[in-house]
Amino acid sequence: MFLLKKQNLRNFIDALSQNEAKLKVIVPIQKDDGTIYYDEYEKNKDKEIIIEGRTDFSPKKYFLPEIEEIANFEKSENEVIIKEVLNNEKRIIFGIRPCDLNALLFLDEVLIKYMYPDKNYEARRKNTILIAIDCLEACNKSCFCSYLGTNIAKGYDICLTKIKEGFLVREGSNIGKNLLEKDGIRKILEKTDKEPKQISFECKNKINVEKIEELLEKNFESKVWQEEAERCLNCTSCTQVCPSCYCFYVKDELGFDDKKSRRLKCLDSCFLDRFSRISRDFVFRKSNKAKLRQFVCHNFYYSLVRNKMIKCVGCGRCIDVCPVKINIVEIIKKIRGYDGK
Amino acid sequence: MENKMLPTKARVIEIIDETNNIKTFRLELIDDEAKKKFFFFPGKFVMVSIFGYGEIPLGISSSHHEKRFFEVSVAKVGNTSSAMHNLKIGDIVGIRGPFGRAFPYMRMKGKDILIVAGGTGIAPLRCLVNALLDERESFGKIWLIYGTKNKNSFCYTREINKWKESGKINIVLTTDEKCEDELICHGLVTDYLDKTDLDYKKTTVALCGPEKMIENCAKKLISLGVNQDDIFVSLERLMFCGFGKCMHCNISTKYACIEGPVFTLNEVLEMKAEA
Ligand SMILES: Cc1cc2nc3c(=O)[nH]c(=O)nc-3n(C[C@H](O)[C@H](O)[C@H](O)COP(=O)(O)OP(=O)(O)OC[C@H]3O[C@@H](n4cnc5c(N)ncnc54)[C@H](O)[C@@H]3O)c2cc1C
Ligand code: SF4
Ligand code: SF4
Ligand code: FES
Repeated sequence: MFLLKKQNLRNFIDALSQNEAKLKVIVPIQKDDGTIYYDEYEKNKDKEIIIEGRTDFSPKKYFLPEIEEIANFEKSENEVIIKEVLNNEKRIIFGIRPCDLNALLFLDEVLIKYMYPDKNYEARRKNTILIAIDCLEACNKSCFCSYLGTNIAKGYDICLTKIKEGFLVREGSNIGKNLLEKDGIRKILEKTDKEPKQISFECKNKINVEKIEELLEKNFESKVWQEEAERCLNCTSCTQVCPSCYCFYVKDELGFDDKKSRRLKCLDSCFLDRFSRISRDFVFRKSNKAKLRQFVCHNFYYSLVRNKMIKCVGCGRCIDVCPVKINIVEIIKKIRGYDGK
Repeated sequence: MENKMLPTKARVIEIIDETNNIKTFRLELIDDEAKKKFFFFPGKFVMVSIFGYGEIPLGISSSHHEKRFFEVSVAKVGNTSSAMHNLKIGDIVGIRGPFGRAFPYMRMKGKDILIVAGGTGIAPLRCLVNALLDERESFGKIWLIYGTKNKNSFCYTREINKWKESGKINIVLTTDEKCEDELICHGLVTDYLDKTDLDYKKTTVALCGPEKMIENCAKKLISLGVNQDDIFVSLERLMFCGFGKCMHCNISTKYACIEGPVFTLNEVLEMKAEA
């Protein structure tokens, strides 16, 4: 265990960004409009690094960009050259919160471990070092991570815990260990035998996920779906901010002549008609009810059955971002209330 | 592990005009390794890339006993399928797969078989028919009921005539619109399900077509006494990956690209109605 003095936080990040491997350091900062998001440290040196509270956006874009080229094709007379495109940029994400870390663990399960890996996600994941920061209390009124166990940091390379003097710094992997031993970094840190306190806060937004997959299966036809979904605007804000939403579509983009083209993987949203449209313009999930139910059931039911994990990490972002106040926790509460009726 | 999103190349070696809207493409994989590994049963599908235009799921329509090449039959309905219709012999397409679960071909041996196709739904079923006829003696009675909009929308007409002449299979062709041809029945496939000499309690059924047709056929077949576990339905969903990543083919806790596209009727009924 190391101690990082409060006044040394910037030096620590500077040291990270000056390491020899030329990793880009990504940090949480605040935009002029107030939004807290992740960006390159190098470009934002004048900005404060936000180490407390939830970030408005998770660092999902570094693993699942909205649009990512996954292959390109070059045609000639009698031949086509197919090129695989993988992102090999090395990064350190500094300050990732426990909820977003847990979302990555869920994505690893679905996108890497289940059947064949999504190579594009895998490459980005392998090339990223994660430096987490513990949450010591519920950071906003909507989150409910403590009821899902996702308030505990897991799967990090290094983790920081805030204490009075600054931060306790611990390693979570060999990569993290080696990084902490690097000259420029090690000298900023002091050895300590202090231990971080056990994390045991409770969020204000209470959710009961006991046998949730059974609850949702049983209440697939519940009237709650219609009641809640009626006002949805299909704006897709919820799926965009969700750190564990990963659904994508694929499209080709033709160059100026039709010799060169690129294949793009693009994030999609189950709140759109196009998500389930097939031939003869038939849309399987046409109604708002069906769309919202897909979102909630993927989070709390389908993911549990298929991947043995709840997809939702309880960050509460979808609740805060919804313009018509559709609330995933309220929906589940209501369904529990209506259970079997 | 290899990148499953990356296609391997196949060359178009023959193109057959089936109707004014449907073409069959005979494809040969270029890479020998890929060719060796290419293995399927009737009902499986491939993802076909028309480079620069897109990638679409297509059922394999040739018999799995044919190892030199395979065929897909494509209706021209949108961007990628139209680009595909513009291909010429010698052109190169991309192939991923085969993916998905097939009809239970091995378990059909010794059984009576009823195949019901609507529209382009005939494509994966043509694969099944040809496979069955390749090993005709391993199966009981075989019936095919195939319906389309009108007389000009039938695929594989030459082949169907050959099937008929062989006497190895009973065939009923139906059209929604009335037509002069006395060999073609007027009406929907559902109207002819009970007009066979099959022992329905011991028959295995393979179904592929529009969702509404599947629904109505299922009801009728159950009333005829066909066991729900012996009805196999090939479902269509939007698909972008083929191996459980993109979520577009998700139906309740199932993925049509993994547990499907062929499901038993029991599974279909268990999957929640989604609309
Ligand atoms: C397992 C499976 C097997 C199939 N087998 C065949 C086959 O053997 N022959 C055949 O002609 N068609 C088959 N289809 C349907 C075929 O994939 C679509 O017609 C094709 O993707 C349309 O693409 P497009 O770019 O030409 O159309 P678009 O321009 O994308 O759209 C045209 C219409 O097709 C729909 N569509 C688009 N993508 C798909 C998709 N992936 N699946 C279904 N509908 C889609 C659109 O919603 C729209 O209504 C199959 C589909 C699946 C899922
Ligand atoms: S579903 Fe909502 S609360 Fe759950 S992880 Fe996604 S955005 Fe956060
Ligand atoms: S944010 Fe709200 S209104 Fe927008 S799609 Fe999601 S549930 Fe619907
Ligand atoms: S096709 Fe992508 S999950 Fe099935």
